Amino acid sequence: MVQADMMIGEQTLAGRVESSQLLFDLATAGCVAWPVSGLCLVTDSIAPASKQIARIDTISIEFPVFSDGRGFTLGRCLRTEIGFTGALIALGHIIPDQAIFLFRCGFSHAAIKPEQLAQWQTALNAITIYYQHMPASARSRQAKTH
Amino acid sequence: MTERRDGFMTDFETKVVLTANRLDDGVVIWMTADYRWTRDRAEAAEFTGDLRAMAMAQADADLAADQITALYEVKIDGIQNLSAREMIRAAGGPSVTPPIDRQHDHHGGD
Amino acid sequence: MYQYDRLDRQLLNSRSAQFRDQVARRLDGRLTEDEFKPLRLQNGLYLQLHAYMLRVAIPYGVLSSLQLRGLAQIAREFDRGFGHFTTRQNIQFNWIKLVDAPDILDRLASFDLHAIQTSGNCIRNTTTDPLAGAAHDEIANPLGWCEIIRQWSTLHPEFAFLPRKFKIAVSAGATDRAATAFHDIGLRMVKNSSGEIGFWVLVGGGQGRTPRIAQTLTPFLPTRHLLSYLEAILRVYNAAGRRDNLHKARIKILVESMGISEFAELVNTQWLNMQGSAHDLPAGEQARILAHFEPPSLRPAADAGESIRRYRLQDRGFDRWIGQNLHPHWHPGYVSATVSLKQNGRPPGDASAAEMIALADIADTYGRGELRVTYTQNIIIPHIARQDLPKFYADLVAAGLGGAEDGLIGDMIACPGLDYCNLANARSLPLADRIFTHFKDPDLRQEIGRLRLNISGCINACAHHHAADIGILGVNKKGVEHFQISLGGAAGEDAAIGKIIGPSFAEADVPAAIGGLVHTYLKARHEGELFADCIRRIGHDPFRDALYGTG
Repeated sequence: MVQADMMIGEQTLAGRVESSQLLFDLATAGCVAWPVSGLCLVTDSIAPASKQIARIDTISIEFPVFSDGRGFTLGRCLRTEIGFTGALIALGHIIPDQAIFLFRCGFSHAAIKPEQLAQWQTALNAITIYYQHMPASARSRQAKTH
Repeated sequence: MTERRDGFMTDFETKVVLTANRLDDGVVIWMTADYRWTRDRAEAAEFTGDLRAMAMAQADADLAADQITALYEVKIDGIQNLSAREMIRAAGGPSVTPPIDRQHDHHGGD
Repeated sequence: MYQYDRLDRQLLNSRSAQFRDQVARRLDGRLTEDEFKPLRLQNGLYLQLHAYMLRVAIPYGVLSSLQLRGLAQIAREFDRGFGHFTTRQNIQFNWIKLVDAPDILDRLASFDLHAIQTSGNCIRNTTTDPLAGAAHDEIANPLGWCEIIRQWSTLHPEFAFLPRKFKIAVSAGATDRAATAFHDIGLRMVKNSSGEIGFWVLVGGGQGRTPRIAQTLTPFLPTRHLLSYLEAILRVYNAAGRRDNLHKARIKILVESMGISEFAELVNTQWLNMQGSAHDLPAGEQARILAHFEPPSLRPAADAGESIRRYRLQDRGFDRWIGQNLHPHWHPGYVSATVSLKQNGRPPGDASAAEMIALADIADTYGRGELRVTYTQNIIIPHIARQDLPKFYADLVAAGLGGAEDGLIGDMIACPGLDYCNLANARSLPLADRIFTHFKDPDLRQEIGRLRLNISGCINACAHHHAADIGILGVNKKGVEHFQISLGGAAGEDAAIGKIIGPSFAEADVPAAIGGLVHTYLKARHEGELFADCIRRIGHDPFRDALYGTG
């Protein structure tokens, strides 16, 4: 899934989101300022190699439709296999009910419609415990029993 | 206004009934002549031409207003309306009898 | 059985609260139907021909008597007093209202049941041998591993939006009673040459419009790596499975197009890359879960041989039932018993609320308060002392459930079909009954012997007609229900896909056609030869000739 010789370049994020959209922080449930640029991927992108993203602060992954779950694998891959530590933004057609899945797959932010802010905030706390012990997952079952 | 080509009715002349499910309880419903919804298949109106377009417009509005779901038209053409699927749906239930629950069997505790 | 603790219950309760909120947002329009549909499917709620249908998960087919009584209450309060047991060991209620669904999920959670991921493009209920833990031929009890897989797959954040549904089955017996060869992932428990227990992992099986038999991904996976390996498989599938065509989106298509060697290499590379980050269970957690599935301590059983012989001579029904519905147990004084939910005049696999309550009581009185749902749409009650069989049978008869059909032609698997299902082309339930009527003489059914006859109402093959001795598929021929007949399928370790034998039949002609097939078999068979073996020996031609007169 990783191609060593892919050309990587940063692009401005402005063209990829509606101007009205907010950048929702999945950790704090608040909204933050947009970064100017970042590496823009789509759900069927091949994950870049770690040395190619060594100096990149922000990666966004665009979901063409919310049922296209490849973005979750790509996000998790970036975090756990490639070791990306910067901001990971979910864009495109995503719905509030995916908030927890995005967060647990390593996304730090999501581009959301302002009128849906309350739904995203509610969604983040809908499920209060998990079975899978993902990194930094204070809510996992194993975390709670140890 | 009628245009017959090759002996087949044009789309404008096709007779349909409109049907859907109520969103909140899933009950099968049919559109009546005054553009309301009924559970009774016998009250379903057959729409054609301009009235069909008006019926559809009302149905679309009901869809948008989250009153109904799974809206579609059944053509009264002797084929679709007489298909096994539409006959079973119009009958309002399965063609077989499920097991009867004998309510007066009381087993202690519940 | 796995006992839910407060953490397991916290998950169920938060899940049903989440769904309550989602339903409210749908009804007031904050969610569109397109956005809501995957969410309601992942809570088991389908919109079917007449109403919403709720598919409740029965994890790996295991139910406590308390849970079965709870399901009976739901049938009475929220439905029409009955439920339908499925080929994936779940139960379906056909007349549910969307507005009641949140209350139903809360009620289910109160006895540790749920409808999580019983539909949708996610990992579904993991199924297994209904005799698990009671079988006489097991390498190990697969139930604990099923629970481990259940927990790992429940709300797994990476795999909630797969290209298509995903089904896993686990088998541990010498005979495969879980149809692992026809699952997306089949797991067979095996021992290696050092006596270590592991999983033979198969991938890419399935029914539907392109039936396939699963292929070996690895012949031996140590049990401690089960979850990380499953995760590697799911990750490869999630990333590479087709999303452009609904009918080509299952993993079986991916495996076939890549070839099993290339697929295996991808999985192995992925697995190596995942080391450290994937979810092998800590040893303590694995032990905690497996500890719930120790063999029950069974009281010594008296020798029942003489009394059973006596009852068999006195009671023809009991004699037939003993001969047909029992399964050997690892304890020589015990058996497991099939309760046949198959009768003339009733849809296969349906049970009324009163029947469910009666079965719960019977399981408490004679068993360990535990029941199993079978792939063949019956119930098995494990751990019955042989000496209790006469009274056990009498109680079944009193409940109207004394049928001795297990494995016979009357033990048909039938999907709900066009009577209930939006996807169907034809009705399966009236045909099942007509066929049963054609063979209504119980002596004839017994004489025919083991014969798996499955009826699917459409190409989605929910009744597994491809894996049947006689498979029947409903098709739509210009608006009229027609039925194609196939022969020679098998679901076990000798898995095979049935072959269509000729043009389709009108419904009225099917029972006689089946009669023709059976007649051909009875004439041609050797002493004690099963239908399946007879087909293998003489081929399809004699059967084709009998039906189409081409001989």
